[in-house]
Amino acid sequence: MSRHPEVLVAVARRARLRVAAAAAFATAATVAAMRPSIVSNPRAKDCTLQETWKRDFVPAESRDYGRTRLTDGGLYRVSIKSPDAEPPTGKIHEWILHIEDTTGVAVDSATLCVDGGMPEHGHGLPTTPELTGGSSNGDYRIEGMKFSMTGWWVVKFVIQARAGTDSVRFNLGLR
Amino acid sequence: MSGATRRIAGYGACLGAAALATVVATAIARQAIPDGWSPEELATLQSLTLGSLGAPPPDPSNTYASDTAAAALGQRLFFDTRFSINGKVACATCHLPARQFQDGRPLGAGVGTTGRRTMTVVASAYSPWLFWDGRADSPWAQALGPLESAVEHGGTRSLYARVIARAYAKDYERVFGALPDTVGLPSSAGPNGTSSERAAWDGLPESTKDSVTRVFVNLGKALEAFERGIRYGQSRFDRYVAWVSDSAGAKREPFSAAERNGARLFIGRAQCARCHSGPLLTDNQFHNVGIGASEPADSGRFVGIRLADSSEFNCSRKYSDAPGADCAELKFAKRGTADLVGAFRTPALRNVALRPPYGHHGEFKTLAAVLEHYNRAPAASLGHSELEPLRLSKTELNELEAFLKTLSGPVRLLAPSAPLQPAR
Repeated sequence: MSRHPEVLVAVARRARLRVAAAAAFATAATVAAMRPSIVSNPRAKDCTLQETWKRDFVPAESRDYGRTRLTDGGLYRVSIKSPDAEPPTGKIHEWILHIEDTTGVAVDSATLCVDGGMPEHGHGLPTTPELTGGSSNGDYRIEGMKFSMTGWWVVKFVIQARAGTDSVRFNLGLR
Repeated sequence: MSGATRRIAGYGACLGAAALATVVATAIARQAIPDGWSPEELATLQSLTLGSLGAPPPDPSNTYASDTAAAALGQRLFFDTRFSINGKVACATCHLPARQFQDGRPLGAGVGTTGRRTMTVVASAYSPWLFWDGRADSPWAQALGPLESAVEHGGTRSLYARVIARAYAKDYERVFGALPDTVGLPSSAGPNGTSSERAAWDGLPESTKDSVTRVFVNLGKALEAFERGIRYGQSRFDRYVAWVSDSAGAKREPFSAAERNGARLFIGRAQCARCHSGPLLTDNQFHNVGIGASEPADSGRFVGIRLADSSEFNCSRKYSDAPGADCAELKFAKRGTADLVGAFRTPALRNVALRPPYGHHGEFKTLAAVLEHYNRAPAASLGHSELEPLRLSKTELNELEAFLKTLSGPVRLLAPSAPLQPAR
């Protein structure tokens, strides 16, 4: 690799998979500026999930394949609203993610990072999915999702919203 | 025996019978699949068969991809050596129909020698990315690469437009409409040629450059239409899985013990099906598997996606027929991540035993040598290999090889129906 310094620089510069809804974030920033900040968010500039799914090995018998999950820190309840059935393999498609707080109130203007992969295989998603547009009633559209094969996939999201930053993981058993 | 005791004994007998029935049913279900495959294993095997392939996905970047007249024209162009700087190189020079549409050489040989192994064009319509590094995002964009490569066809856009006007005007115009005027066009001019060819190209008006480039693009689109019909036929593996899936209805096609064990290793412990998945036995993605010499270092997909982004022939540029929204593969492609360094496209494994050598530089002469590489999993010379040592025995490696040989079948031409011969 030492013969390719330009490769190393580019890897370092672009190594983070980062998905942000600029418009939504700008709205959130405006709201935050108008009110006293409820929760300081020191990780707002560090929305990264770079391959954390690799460390998330869960034995087959204890995998939760639920489509609604509480975030790790308990701040948000997140659901895969679409696709209704099992996501396809080998085909680019979109997801609708629904985010609400623990009292069931829809959370809008969040910033999302998405990353995923197959912990058993060590490879990530073949694409770089993006949050497109803002949100409506807690629904977020994520385009560019693709699973290159069947099997156990992990998809993780980091959610930054007014209540703070938290992450959530979904297990998928694609057949 | 009291009534209550009798009732309990009766229930016990019922329960026992039910349990026995379950055991028997399970045993029958197991017996129903020959060779002891579990239902899960059988489902995996079925996912690898041609039966689950379907039609190739549409190519919205090429309106003519499924046009039979374009395919017929493309077939003639494919074999025509006039599309080269020395009059000796056609697509079929490296993509030989009798050799699985590849050339059997470690590195391609056209006007000069290429830097990588020639890939087959069979079933290329199924891959969202072409070339080892995926630097083309459609078969037509792929076809244009070698035509302008100094070491492959070595020609230029104006040379090709003149050949089309001279030898294919009627057939071309029937598909693509009127040809531009090629009178007075330089004999060889193009943006990727020699310095004099580039200078000649730079001297042309923009409108001429555009009209000549459109003829060049349509040449690629006709070639894609032809190549789209080149597919794989049923292999022994497909017939074996059909038989184990329906041993009463399908024709008997047994595997030897070695082939069976090889198949079990392929989908299991040897982890081949992790990347060699689906009916073509490829995930169409890019992986670093530690193949490739240190000199010259080859960055593979890391650079390949940049080349695709900057190509004037990608899905989102003006010579594509797709509206921007249809270019999802290009739009959402992974870029700039460390795992793309030294990563190359997973080759399909259909007919793999019929087309040595293997590896993107033709490093391995035999399947046994490839399997030995995966078993050892040496470190990559560039980037990081995804492989872990498999620790398979010599016998197991031989069994895997025996299985790989069952993936061989015919190559079929769907349309046009003419025989695969040079047409002049």
